[in-house]
Amino acid sequence: MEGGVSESGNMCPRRSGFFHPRPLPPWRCIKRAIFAYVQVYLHSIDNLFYLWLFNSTAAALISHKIIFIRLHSPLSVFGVILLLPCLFLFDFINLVVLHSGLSSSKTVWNVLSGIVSVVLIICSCAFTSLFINGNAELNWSRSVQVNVLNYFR
Amino acid sequence: MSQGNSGFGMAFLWYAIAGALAVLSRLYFFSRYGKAVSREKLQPFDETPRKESNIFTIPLVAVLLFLLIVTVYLPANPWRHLTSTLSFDVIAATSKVMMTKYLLRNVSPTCGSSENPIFGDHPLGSLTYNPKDDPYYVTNLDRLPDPFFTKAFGDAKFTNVVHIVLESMREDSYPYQEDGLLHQHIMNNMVPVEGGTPVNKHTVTPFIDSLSEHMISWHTMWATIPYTHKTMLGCMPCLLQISQ
Repeated sequence: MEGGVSESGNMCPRRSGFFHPRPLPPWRCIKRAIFAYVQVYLHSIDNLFYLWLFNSTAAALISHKIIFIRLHSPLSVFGVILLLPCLFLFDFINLVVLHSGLSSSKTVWNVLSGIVSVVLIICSCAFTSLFINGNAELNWSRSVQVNVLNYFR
Repeated sequence: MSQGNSGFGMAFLWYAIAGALAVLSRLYFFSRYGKAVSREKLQPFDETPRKESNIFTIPLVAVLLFLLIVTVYLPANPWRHLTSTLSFDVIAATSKVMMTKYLLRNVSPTCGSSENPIFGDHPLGSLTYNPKDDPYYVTNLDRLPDPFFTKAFGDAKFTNVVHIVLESMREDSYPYQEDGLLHQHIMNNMVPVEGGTPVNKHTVTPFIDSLSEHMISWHTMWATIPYTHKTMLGCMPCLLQISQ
């Protein structure tokens, strides 16, 4: 791997030099790196069901946050783009923790993360359905009081 | 929980499709590049053997920690609550309700019975409420009008001011809008009574039209639907009672 030539003939060097072969165009290196990262991500969770569950949860969390921002819309488009990392930070941390649990070799963490994922998907579906039908935000405190507590009463 | 029409199922279907896309992509890549698919070979720039899954070995953790510090120390802004995530909202709401329900149920002698305590937005429920401090009951006649309203009204003279507060009422139902969601729901899902009163803005909200010429409407003041049962106006049993 000296000088950027891999054992398998990879022409994407990690560092360029004078006497090294001409590397591939940058866009091909980027394309190859993106493809490799996508492959790593797709195989980061062994179980296909957990992979499906994780991606569904990611879609649910991102959709929930987009709808949340759309409902309140306190910022301009530029402001949302500028503050996007902060707005999505806790969702991303949530996904990182869930991914760690679902890809764990311990069944306890798998099951626990799976249950949390299912709950998040259900909650996000309820939030989204209310947005679609009523263009309103779901108040979780009131929903728990009215629905859950009355159900067990 | 708040299932409305087919929205819940449709949202779940979209999430399931998003998850299935990843599974199908993995199966497709495996069928096409099967022999190249293994974790050790797929590490693009990292040749070290893969360690046991640990959250602190994820490369983005440092970036996340930095963003976390930035987010926590952000100054107070109206949009700051948008940074909370769904799991936090649900856990916070559930824990608050449970605490109010099971820990404070026996210490609320003046605000509801011990069996049915009154809930409030405050973590301590309604225990700290005092009408003397409620701005709704404190007169402000001894103060000058707000400069914003003084400037906005100009030389206008008022003889009567009618302040209509509709709790948990959809914006498109008062005044009734014939292109609103409620009207669409009625037209699409309800069978009109033969010889009955037609459903339009002149029959549902007949008097508001005469006031609308000088009406100020706050379109951004909306409440969530689960607040009261009045919001079940769009449900079928209520409409059947109206038509009878």
